[in-house]
Amino acid sequence: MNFDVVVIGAGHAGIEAAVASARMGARTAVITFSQDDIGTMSCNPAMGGLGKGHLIREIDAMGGIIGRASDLSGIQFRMLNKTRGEAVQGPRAQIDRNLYRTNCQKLLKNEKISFIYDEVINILTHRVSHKELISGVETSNSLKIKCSTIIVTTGTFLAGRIFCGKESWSAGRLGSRPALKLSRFFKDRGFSMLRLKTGTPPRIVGSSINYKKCVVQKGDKNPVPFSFLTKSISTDQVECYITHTNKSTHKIITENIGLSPLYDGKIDSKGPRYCPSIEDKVKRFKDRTRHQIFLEPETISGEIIYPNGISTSLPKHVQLKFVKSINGLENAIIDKFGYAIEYDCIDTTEINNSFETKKIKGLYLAGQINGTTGYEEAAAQGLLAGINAARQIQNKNKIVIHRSEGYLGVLTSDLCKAGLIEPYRMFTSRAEYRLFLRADNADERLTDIGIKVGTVKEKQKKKWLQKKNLIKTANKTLHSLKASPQTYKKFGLKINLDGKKRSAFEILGYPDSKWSILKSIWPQICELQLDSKTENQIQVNSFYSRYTQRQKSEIEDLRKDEGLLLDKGIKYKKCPGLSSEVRELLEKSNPRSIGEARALPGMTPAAAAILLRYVKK
Amino acid sequence: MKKIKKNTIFALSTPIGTSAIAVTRVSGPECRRIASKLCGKSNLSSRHAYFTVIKDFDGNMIDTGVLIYFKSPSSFTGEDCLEIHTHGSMIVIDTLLSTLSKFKFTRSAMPGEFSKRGYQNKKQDLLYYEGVHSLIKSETENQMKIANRQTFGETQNICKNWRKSIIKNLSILDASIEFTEEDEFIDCQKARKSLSNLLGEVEKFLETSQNARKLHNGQSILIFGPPNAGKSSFFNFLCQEDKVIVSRRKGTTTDQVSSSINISGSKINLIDSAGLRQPKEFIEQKGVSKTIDSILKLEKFILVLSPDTLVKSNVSFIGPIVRDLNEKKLFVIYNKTDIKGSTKKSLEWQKSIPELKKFDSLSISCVKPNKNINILRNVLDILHKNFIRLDNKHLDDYLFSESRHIECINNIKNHLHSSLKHFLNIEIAANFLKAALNEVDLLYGNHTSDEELDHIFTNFCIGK
Repeated sequence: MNFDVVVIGAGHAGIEAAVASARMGARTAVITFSQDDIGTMSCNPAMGGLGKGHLIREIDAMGGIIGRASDLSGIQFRMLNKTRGEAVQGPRAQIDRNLYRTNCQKLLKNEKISFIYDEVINILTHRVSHKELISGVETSNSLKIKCSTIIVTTGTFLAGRIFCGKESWSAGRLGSRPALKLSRFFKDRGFSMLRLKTGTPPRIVGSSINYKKCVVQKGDKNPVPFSFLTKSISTDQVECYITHTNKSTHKIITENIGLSPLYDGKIDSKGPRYCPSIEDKVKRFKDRTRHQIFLEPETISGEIIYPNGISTSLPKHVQLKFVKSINGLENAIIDKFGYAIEYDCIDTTEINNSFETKKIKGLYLAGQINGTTGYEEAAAQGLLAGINAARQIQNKNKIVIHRSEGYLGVLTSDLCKAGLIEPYRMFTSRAEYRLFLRADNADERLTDIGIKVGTVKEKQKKKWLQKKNLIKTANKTLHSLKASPQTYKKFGLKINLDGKKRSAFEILGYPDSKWSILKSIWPQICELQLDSKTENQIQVNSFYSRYTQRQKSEIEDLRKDEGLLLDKGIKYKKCPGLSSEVRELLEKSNPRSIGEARALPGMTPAAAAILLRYVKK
Repeated sequence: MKKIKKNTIFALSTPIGTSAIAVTRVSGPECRRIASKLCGKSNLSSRHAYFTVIKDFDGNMIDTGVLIYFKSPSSFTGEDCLEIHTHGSMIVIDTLLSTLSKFKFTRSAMPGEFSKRGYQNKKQDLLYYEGVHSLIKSETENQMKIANRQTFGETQNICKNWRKSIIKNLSILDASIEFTEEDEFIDCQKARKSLSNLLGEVEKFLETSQNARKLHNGQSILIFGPPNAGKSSFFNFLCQEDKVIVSRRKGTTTDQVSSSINISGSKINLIDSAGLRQPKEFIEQKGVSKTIDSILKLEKFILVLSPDTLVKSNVSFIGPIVRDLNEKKLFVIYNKTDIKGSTKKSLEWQKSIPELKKFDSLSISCVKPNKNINILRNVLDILHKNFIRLDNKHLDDYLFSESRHIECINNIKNHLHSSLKHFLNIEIAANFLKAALNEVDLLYGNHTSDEELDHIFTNFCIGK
């Protein structure tokens, strides 16, 4: 067998990686243990939220399938921070995990991907002069598959080990084998590794819960879909419930904390501070009398409930005892017990910003293997690794999304900066351009890039180009229409009567402004025929443009020359004005672009300017 | 990536010229090799003063002196450092420097390079090096006080507190954005209150820092008055040298002359100007209009009057100018007390221009005053007490003095103000808060771009 791109793993990173590379024309195969693994949600049955919802929108804008699959499988949609500004609104949904798996597999049928159900036991390489290159993989069925690029997306499966009380065993997740041999490969090649941990709560049988004692939490009346392609949500919507731990729960946990492997020294790897186990919460915040638990249905029928907020690795009998002390869960039956999982991940100093390893050409890593958590973070890396692996096949230069273009870029540059102290999760506060990187304008920011590289399908491309055209015309019209404050006031807008003429675009961003006001002043605006979503997007653009103008010009300046590529054979010796120190630095590190050159430690802006002038000539 | 090997740099740290002792500093990885070749010392202990013979590259003796080795990272630059104390002879220094240049990977230091390396090795923050620079440049006691505060602690603590406060409040806003689902009570109103307190503090520091800046640059005082009242004599008297030509001829001074003097610890830019009257020729006209411009621009003035200049034309020319000074500060000198009836004439001046009574005054004679140093001291004392010191009363609060500081503080103030103004749009408030934080980092020297750094360090002369 012979492929261009082989993806190991079929989780959220693996799927996006395979879809991206297949759409770009690379012969793509996915190797995973079994068909059941495709699109499995290992942990909580939800997608999106702050930062994470932004990522889904961006992946969708570039042609990824996570948004579509979520829309088809979502059973409760809520826009977080709905009362706040669009920049900090995050779409989130409860997902039926069975539906999700089915829908993923359905969507994957439309792509040219070969699935191989097997275990990869070795990665094969060869050497060309000093460089090690990928030549293929070897599977446990002693299959040898030739390929020139590999994307490893093994999640928590690399030397995964589960802890539940005193018990512990090797596993990828509950009920799955770990990938031990692959882990060996990375160790043998001298990859720097980290050991991280994460946890999951016990699952509860839905019929054993007394919901009358819990607080109901309803979804949004008008569910807002993730994908730019979804018109409306057609799955039935369900309710979630909220309950709380109490003093007696805390007492049980405190009394038994010595039995938790987190506290008896068995686990000393780093877990995420933003997703603490219930043991951690009780121990660290002693003055709290209760902790919130969301009772999230894993499927639409609600047979199994995921109690979000009580991830634990206490022994089974303690789990049962403390669960039963919780309001509404007095008669709870536990379907599967909670556990902590420790796994290997690879230090991100080993990869560069295209997700390719520095040691082996053609070897890409994406997802939890890079020390991140979350389906969305994994999917984002899968997409970018898939694109870059396919670009390598096409002999084209790498695509790196900039921090100013999307959370995809924030994720990339944060990971490449290295120095991970805990599993990496996306937050909107990680983005310095938060006001600009919104969920509502992900298509404006990224779909053109997706079209350029070839990950966006014809239907989406058509839809976006149409919308882009509409926005362009609308912007032009709105900027050209100007009126005095008196006029605006006459139509009911609160405004300073300072005699300054303002454009319709500017006015649209005012707090009490409405499209209807503008339409009554200028009836020709109706002819733009914008749908309500696009109208909203333009209005939000106008609102934030007042605050982002300075940042935008900053981004422009940065981007203008950052992307400028440096010729591989560039003779730094011939570039006049460079100091010998800088020349030596450039020769050694061989930067590919002005941006990379500028980022080198020891590079001065003056030297970068000299280099830029030389390159432009 | 492998770290590039840095050159070892050297420079004479004391002024060039003949002196008892001269200190040459060396910094970089070659220090130990240099010490071994020059002084035959190996296995040097750090921070130990060795009395030693100093030889050139070929082993010929240059001098005897003291050698101190500072082992990295415990040195000014954070690298290995040497201090070579020699006798301050030009030929000794020249020979030593040319010997140092003969080593591989050594070169003469650029201006401010020792400090720059210290900053790059995170020995101290930017404010420290600016403080050292100010300290070296200090000419007066007040400048020294500010520089010392900046160099040795207090200023940095204030930035650190601002930084802490902004980060704390920003994290409250961000937490309320990111963790909207939690039932943890996040008190944004508390953040709002804390931020408006911070804004108040920043505003206070901005004001006092602007004053400090004035102090740093020195206050400008313009001497004006009718022609031949003795302005230039008074100017020379204060400067204690004949800076300006004086004569009995009216209009001798046609252009402004300024001199920097130290009055009881405060730096003063004293400016002498052309006498004020209806100008008779082109050059004089230029001079007079320049004086009028300065009066509009500056804040403090000394008016010199004399008995023999009390004539109608002078009164009608000077009177309106004094009236228009409004809140500006004026000190009146009634000069030429050696002329008979001068006291009476002073009163007549005050009768003709009643506003003169509002201002403090002093009667003196500048004729041969140099002979009596006590008169000078007396005049300076009175000027200082009644005229100059007023600005110094908040000196204890003065902390920032560079224009870079003022610009940063002003930006911090503006960003905090915008943040509070937009508090209902929490993401916009947070955005301005981040901008304020960047500005604090800039002030503190955390994130300063290299270009700015180069600029700052090039203005340094320490290390040379």
